[in-house]
Amino acid sequence: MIVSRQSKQSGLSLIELMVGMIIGLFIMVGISSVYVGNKRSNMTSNELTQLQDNGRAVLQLLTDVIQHTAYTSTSAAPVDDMFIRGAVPTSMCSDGADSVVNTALFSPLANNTTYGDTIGVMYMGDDKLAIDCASNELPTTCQFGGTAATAASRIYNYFSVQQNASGTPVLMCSGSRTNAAQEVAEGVENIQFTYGEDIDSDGIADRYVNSTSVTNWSGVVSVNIAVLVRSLAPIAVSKSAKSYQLSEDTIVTSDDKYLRAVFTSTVRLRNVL
Amino acid sequence: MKQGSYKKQQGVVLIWALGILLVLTLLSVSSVKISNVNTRVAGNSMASMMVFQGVESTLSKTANTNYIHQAAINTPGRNKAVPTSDLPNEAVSGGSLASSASVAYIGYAPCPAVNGIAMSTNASPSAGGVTCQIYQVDAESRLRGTGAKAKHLLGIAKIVPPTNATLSN
Repeated sequence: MIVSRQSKQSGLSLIELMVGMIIGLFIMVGISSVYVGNKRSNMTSNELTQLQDNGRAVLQLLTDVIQHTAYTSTSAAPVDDMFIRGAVPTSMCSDGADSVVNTALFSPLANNTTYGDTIGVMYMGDDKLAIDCASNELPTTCQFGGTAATAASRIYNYFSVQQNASGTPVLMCSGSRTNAAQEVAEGVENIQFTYGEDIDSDGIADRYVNSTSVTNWSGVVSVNIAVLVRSLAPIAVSKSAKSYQLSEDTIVTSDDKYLRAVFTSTVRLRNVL
Repeated sequence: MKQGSYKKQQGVVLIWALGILLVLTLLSVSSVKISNVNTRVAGNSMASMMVFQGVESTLSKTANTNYIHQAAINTPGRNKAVPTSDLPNEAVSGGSLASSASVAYIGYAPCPAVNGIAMSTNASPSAGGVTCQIYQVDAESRLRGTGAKAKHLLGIAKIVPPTNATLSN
């Protein structure tokens, strides 16, 4: 009884153990490859979702702000400084405060800086529209229709792409009512604006050009936005070389593991006369 | 004893397989959820664009001298709700647009300086030769079956003789 049991046990420990281990190995390899594949596809879809969210948020915000360009409330007077092309002036509200909190935040809009174009637009604040791009409100003492001078109701908004402290490229917005530039969207690598210029005064854009080629700024009736957004983590399996055309003069090339997508939209400037 | 140990081992494999299956199920359920949310987000952004276009179309159909005139002679209140039959009310993908609009008289205001329009000197706003009546168009568009809604306002300055004008010559 004891002898027969020992002989059976030795057989189990040698052949059966090895067969069992090999079978177990195959099963483990199968399961782990399924698991790794599943996890990767889950991470990719998460990053893709975030990338699309960022792109959508950028377009939404830029559209909302740029759409209001040259809004002059009930004064209905045409303005020639609807785009920021020089130093931003501040003026006094009816309580003596400055209408622009920090004029040092603004620069003239530029074509092809390190991270693409920058844009700055102006509209007037009244009781219906009183916030800048960072959602800070223009006090009623500065708004149009009150006792302050018309110049005090001007709300300036300036967008540029920069790298934040952790090295991620972000879209920054500076508004008249903000002390410091605010981060509004992550993963924005490059942004291009082309301006629809109306040459024959029929209210329809005849050509789209970059900011250095605009001949008559009061003839700009629409703005085309192209944004290159990338994922926040390098998620692809291997490096791949790709190029993205954002505008006539800008092709961005990349060779890394980030996911990227280009989002475009055209905004009609409703308030340009 | 021997049979008992084999049975135990088979049970362990079963439990392992079930456990891993559970993890995989959780992963796939979460990715299905993510894609569901994405579909909804895309649907919402489509709906908001539709109502934006709808309300712009409503504004451009409403902001004309016909409705301004009708608002001006419609007392009291001097406003005119634009008949629904005159507004874009059409089926779009994902539902149908319902729009409404009204034109209302707001008051007198100094005329804005206008560019590119020829005026004789004594008829220009700065000489006090004309004044402006301000009208406001309120337009609203909804996408039926969703909560999407857009509301746009448009101001119109209509150049008229000054309020204290007297006829001479």
